[in-house]
Amino acid sequence: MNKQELLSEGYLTAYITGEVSAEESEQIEALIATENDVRAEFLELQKTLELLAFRQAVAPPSSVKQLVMQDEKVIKNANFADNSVKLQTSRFMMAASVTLALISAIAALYFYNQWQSTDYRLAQLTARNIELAENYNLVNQELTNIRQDLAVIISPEFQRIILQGTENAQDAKAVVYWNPTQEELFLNSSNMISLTQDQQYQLWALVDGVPIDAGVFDASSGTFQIMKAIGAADAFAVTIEKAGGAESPTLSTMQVYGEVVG
Amino acid sequence: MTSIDFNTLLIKRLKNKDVTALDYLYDHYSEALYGIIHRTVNHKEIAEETLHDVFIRIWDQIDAYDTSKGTLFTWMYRIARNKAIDARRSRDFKAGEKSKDIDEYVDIFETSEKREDYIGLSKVLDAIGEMCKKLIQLNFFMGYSHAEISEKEDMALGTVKTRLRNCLKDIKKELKSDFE
Repeated sequence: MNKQELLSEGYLTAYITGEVSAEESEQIEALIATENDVRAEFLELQKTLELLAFRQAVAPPSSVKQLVMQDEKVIKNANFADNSVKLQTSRFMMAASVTLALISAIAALYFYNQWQSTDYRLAQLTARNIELAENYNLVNQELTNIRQDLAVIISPEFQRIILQGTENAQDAKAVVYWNPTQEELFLNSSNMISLTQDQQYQLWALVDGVPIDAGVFDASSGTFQIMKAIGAADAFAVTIEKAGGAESPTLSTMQVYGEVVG
Repeated sequence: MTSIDFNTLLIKRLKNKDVTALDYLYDHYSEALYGIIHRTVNHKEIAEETLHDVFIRIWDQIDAYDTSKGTLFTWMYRIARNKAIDARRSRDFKAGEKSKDIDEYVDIFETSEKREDYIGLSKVLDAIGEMCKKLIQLNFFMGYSHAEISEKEDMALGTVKTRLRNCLKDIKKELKSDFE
């Protein structure tokens, strides 16, 4: 029997009803196993037959089922370990659905937490980013200041005048950078102590013994303070005055003093 | 879960001698199998006994079922058809008479009109023609062999076989959507 004979001569339907010899049966099974189109038609014929069988169904009396389920052959080798399989099955299904619900809930919680923590991390990173940007700006500002300071320090135009502590403040020290041509005056007062709020330091330029106001300042750290424009000076001095400064210096409070060299 | 997966599970549980699987199997297939048995045997008590025997055989022989040789339904169908034919012969022998003849054929699909026709099978059966319907019913659901049909219908044996196959294929063609 070849494939064509098998298909056209109705061997498959005969095989389904069992109307073939043992030899034919073997040949048919071999072709079903090896030929895709034979297997496909075999499956289609079976499905069609099953459909028709349900169409011609007749309900048997319910007593038959009872007799089958109570038949000693069924009871004899029934797997009684699984006697409560139905219950177990429903319990299993229940357990399975509960488990599934739990897993879903856990997954949801997990992803919610993930999301939350991601969100939190994002906020953290954003904050950190802002902080870094601020720091950068700060550092950049400082760098700019230092560059300016450095430019002043290394400039041949600027004179560096060190103001030494007087008897009033022997440890105090200040430095003045002065460019007489451009009338630029800078002050570094980092070695001077802080004053009360109603007091301020005042820088004076002495020209031929006459003090000229060069500006008030607070004791501060680090960078230069820009003072008033001074075109001529023999010496510089700092006194403590009331906040806002005074018309003329209170010489008794002089903190530091230094003469312009050359 | 597809029906193939479901059947795989069902077969596994049957092989494991799980009575709940037998319970399901009976609820799902007993009416289809009883229809075949009843029409083949044509005797209420014998048909009931035969149905009982069929399910016991399915239960006992499930390990012999080989998925590569057909669907679970085909395997059960074959058991039912053969048992019913055996029962008819035995009954004929005891009664010393021949059971109802093919001549008393009535359209069994026609008589089950009350059944809900979800897939429009009535229309399909009308479309395939009377001869197809008769051949299918006699061979598949009334337990008549090719030879018996050939003799009674005055049709060559080869023609009976070929026609049966073509008739089933026609139904399948009409029901295309169900197979896709």
